[in-house]
Amino acid sequence: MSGHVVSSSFVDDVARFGGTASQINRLRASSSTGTHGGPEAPPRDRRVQRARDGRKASDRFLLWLAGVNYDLASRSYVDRTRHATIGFAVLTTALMAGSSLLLVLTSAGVDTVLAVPAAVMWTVLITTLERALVASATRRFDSFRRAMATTLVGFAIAALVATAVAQPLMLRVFQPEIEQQIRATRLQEAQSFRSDTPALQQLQARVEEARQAMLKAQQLYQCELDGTCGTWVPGHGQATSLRRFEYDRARAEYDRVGEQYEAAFSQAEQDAAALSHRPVGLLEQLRALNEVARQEPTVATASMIVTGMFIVVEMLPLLLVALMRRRGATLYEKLLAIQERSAQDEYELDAIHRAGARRLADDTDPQVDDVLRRFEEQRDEISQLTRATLATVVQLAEERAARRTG
Amino acid sequence: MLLPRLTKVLVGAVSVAVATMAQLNLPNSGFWGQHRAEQYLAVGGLVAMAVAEVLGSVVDHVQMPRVRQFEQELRAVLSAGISQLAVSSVADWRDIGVSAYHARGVPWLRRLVLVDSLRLCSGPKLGSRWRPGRGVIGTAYEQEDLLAVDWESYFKSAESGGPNSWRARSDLDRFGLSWGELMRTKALVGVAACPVWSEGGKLTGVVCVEAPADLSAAGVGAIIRDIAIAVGDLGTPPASWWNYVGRRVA
Repeated sequence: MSGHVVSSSFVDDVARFGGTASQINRLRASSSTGTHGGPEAPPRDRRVQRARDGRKASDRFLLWLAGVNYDLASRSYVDRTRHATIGFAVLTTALMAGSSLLLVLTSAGVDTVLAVPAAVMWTVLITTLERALVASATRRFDSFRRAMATTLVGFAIAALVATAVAQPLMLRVFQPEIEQQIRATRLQEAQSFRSDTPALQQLQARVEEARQAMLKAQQLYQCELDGTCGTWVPGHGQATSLRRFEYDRARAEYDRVGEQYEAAFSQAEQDAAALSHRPVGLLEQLRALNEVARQEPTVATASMIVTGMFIVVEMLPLLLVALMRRRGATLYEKLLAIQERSAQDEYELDAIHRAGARRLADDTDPQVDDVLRRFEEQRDEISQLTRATLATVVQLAEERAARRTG
Repeated sequence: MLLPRLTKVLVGAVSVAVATMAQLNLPNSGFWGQHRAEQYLAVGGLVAMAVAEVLGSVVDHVQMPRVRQFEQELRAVLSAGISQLAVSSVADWRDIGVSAYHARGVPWLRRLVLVDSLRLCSGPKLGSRWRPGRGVIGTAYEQEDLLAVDWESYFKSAESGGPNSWRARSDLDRFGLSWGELMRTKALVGVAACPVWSEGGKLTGVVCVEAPADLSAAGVGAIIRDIAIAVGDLGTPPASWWNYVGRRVA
């Protein structure tokens, strides 16, 4: 099969039998150049074209990101540079958005294996969104109101995305202050948790009560033993044994309640420790940042400036489009309008051809029948006229011949 | 295609049986309490089947424009092939059949599946599935070269020799066919097959022409090569092509 070239008549036949335009173009290209050749032919990849005439592949990618047609935009150096800059801004924005989500997920304790694909998907999503916004912003509308509405909606969406993306990045910038604030807040929470537990307070009261009861029982036993109260007889007797029993019982009760309190206290300690070491969530970080900003006006100002900066960077593609807009259409816009008009005309012409072909093929269409009938009638008239003319000519010729012979 | 379908049917049957028996407490009420894992698996199987069906429908729907375009382009190529062969006076255009086969399956279990065929009158069928090395189609694929056979003469010589003589022939000499398979090809006169290479030079399938004429002439070979190149240009059929009802199957 090496070196075989598709014959042009075959390509014509494919076109005649309804082959698509792209198919015909491909076959014509291979027919004229003979690039087809089976295994010996060098592999050709239609998806990637080698950069030509000093045009870099990166330019192609950036212009794709800017949502413009590379072939049209690259005809003017100014347009190409302008749109490549916008494309670069889209790329930067998308990468920042991806990094932002990665930070959020990793700080929320999500595994890196899951966080990285999610961040990549988010980057792709933001790229698509920004590309669509930029492409719609680049377009010129006939109506001023429509242009304004499109621009405002675009800016609103971009601002929303920018705010969502800027927040995690800002948390990263103020991370030391936030961590400090979280530590302080948790310490405070743990202390209040220990002292505020109702069960612990109740147990503490019972311990105190048991201690008082034990001290009283001890005092009664001691004075009974000394003979300074009770029976007023010193030494060991029946009453002394009774007091001793009461004292032992009060001490046992005190020990039991004390153990209960210690157990509850150690449990509370453990709970407080667990509270202090729980993972830091996004909400907690935001609360901490608000708290720091409330306490330190400098941090509040810095936070606002940094947030604003991130939002501006995230909205950079749209801002660039707005800043680069100028009076009158650029060469790219003119070429695009011509191409769109041409494509529309081509489509309409094609539709007319298809509709015509369908009507001709439709045996039940009365209009086609009418046209054909009229054509048939006229054909009969023409043939009648032709026959009449011929008869006249023949008659004249016969008369002339008769005159000559006569 | 058979294995996925079979798997789907088996999974569906088992899952429905398990879920129904658990619902009806069969064989007894205590039985399924000890087989919770099986119940979860059955529900999972049913959900997977439903998801697969929905996904398949969505993919079919999404790919429909591409399928239509592929069909249009392939039909144009096959029609142009018949037209060219008719012009070169091979045979009457109604008696020429052109078929395109695509290689599917894993490398060690390749099969050539009919993508589409065109023949304007009734005639012998070439079959919808071939293996490399079997028949003219499979042999052309295996040898990676254009192969034109005067099948009428070949068949007569084989038939006169009888089954034993046929079995004694080498595999290549028999085109990998059994005696029974040979007997089913009596209606064929001339058969030619040409391998199809993709744009990257990868062997992707075969185009086959059959007509009541000798197809070994150089001009005919050039036309078959044209058809093969044009089919190779179309690339791999879309995944939904194989479920497409408009596809002709021999």
